[in-house]
Amino acid sequence: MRAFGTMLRIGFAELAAYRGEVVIWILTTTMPLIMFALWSTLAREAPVGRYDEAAFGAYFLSTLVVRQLASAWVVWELNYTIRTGALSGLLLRPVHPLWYFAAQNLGVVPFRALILAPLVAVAFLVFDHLPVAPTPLNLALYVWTIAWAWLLTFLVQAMFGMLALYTQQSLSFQEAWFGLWALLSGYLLPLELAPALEKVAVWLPFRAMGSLPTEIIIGHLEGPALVQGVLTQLAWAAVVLALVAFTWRRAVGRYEAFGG
Amino acid sequence: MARHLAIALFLARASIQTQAQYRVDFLVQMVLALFWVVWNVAPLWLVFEIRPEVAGWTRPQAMLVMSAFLILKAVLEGLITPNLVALVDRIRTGTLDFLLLKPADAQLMVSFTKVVPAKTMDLLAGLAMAAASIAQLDPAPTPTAVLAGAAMLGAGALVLYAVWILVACVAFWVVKIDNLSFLFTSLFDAARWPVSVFRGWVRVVLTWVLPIAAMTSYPALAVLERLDLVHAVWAWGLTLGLLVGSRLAWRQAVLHYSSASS
Repeated sequence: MRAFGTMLRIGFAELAAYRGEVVIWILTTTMPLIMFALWSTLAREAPVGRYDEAAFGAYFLSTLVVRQLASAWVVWELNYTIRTGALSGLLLRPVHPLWYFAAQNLGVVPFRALILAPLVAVAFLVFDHLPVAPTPLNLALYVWTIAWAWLLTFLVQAMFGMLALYTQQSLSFQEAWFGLWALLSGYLLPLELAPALEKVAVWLPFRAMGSLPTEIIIGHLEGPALVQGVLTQLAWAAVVLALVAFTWRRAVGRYEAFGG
Repeated sequence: MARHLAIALFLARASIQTQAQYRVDFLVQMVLALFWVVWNVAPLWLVFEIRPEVAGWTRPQAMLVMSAFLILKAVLEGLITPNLVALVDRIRTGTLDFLLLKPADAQLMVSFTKVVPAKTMDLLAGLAMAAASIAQLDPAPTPTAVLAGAAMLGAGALVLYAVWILVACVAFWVVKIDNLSFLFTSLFDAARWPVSVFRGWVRVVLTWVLPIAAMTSYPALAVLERLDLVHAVWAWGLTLGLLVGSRLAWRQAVLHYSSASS
């Protein structure tokens, strides 16, 4: 555990060296804003379902925040270390390489929060009242579900990263996954506006790593639906964790240390 | 002119042949390209399931903007960005030397060394969607209006090219610019909706400062005969200005080039 603390600090220090690039990376997340432009145009004429303009504002603002906080890049890191043979060094260490990558990816989260804070503040100033429902329970669940969304994102990426041990290059899988995720996670539109989509999506992992925290913080999830959402997220985390543990053991045996 | 065309075609063919060696990857890319087209169109399609008209645009009209977006995105990702990345790499490693020594125009050579053939799927999808949207328009547009739309779209593609040459020139001084290309691509995503979807200062910026939205909305407006002459002249004036400016900047940049290898 102490080692993990040290690795977190290293992750944070690495980030400090590349802060300019991290800021640019954060700025490239424009899609929620672009989607907000489209949906708010509709809402200005008349509300769409439960969503008026401010509700769309709150929804896509939170979508942006969740996307930034529950993000990882371990799939690129794994692909790179496998292709160049740098994984050899990590395998020799006494800590599991996935702990190392987890620390590296988590170290950036405080920095992202720091960059997002002024944006959130401005949004609250621009809209008179963003319809958020920050009851203590909702707030606690918001943080809780974002944490699990991060873990799910990380594990799924680790999984696709390991596929590189079989196919040399697994970024196409990640690309396809991202596309599916965006369609079924509420990244492009609130899922309740497409009921047919929502019926399937509540059982899939995408929403658990997408709009679940957002739906909680704007107060659209209550009672059984809320419990179902939180439990589905935990269930998927367990499934993916088991898959990663199983795959890692088999995949790492195939590692050939190119150039190592 | 004919010689320049021949060189460009030859370089593009060589690049496609190199990539066709990786057949599985090639096929996966083609399938993924189709998926992304659906992905891009889906939200706009859904919006018109809810409302017949959005910000003064009907579905076929907005789809015309979307098809212009797909076509320009295909040009950007299939031709412009890959060549920029390759050029930056050449500047960093010093292999630009070999290219400058060849008896052909260097700007032409760096513009066509890399072509991503999978993006032709996006291009075809964009063209097909444009044709379908035009067929659904009521009243049907005149042939002149369609030609005017094509001319505006051409201006958009040339602006993209000129801006990239300018960015490439920056790379001669500041080597690390790959992240800028990601930033630009994500800004260009705003061009997928008709410009009137955006409001206030965002619309002003997207029309006049970074004319991203204008690149896809003006062609559609030209087909609908709703583009006034001032905007059309402004767009082509800007295009020609940027082309000339980028050519001059390129010359300066190459003169400044001090090979990294020697």
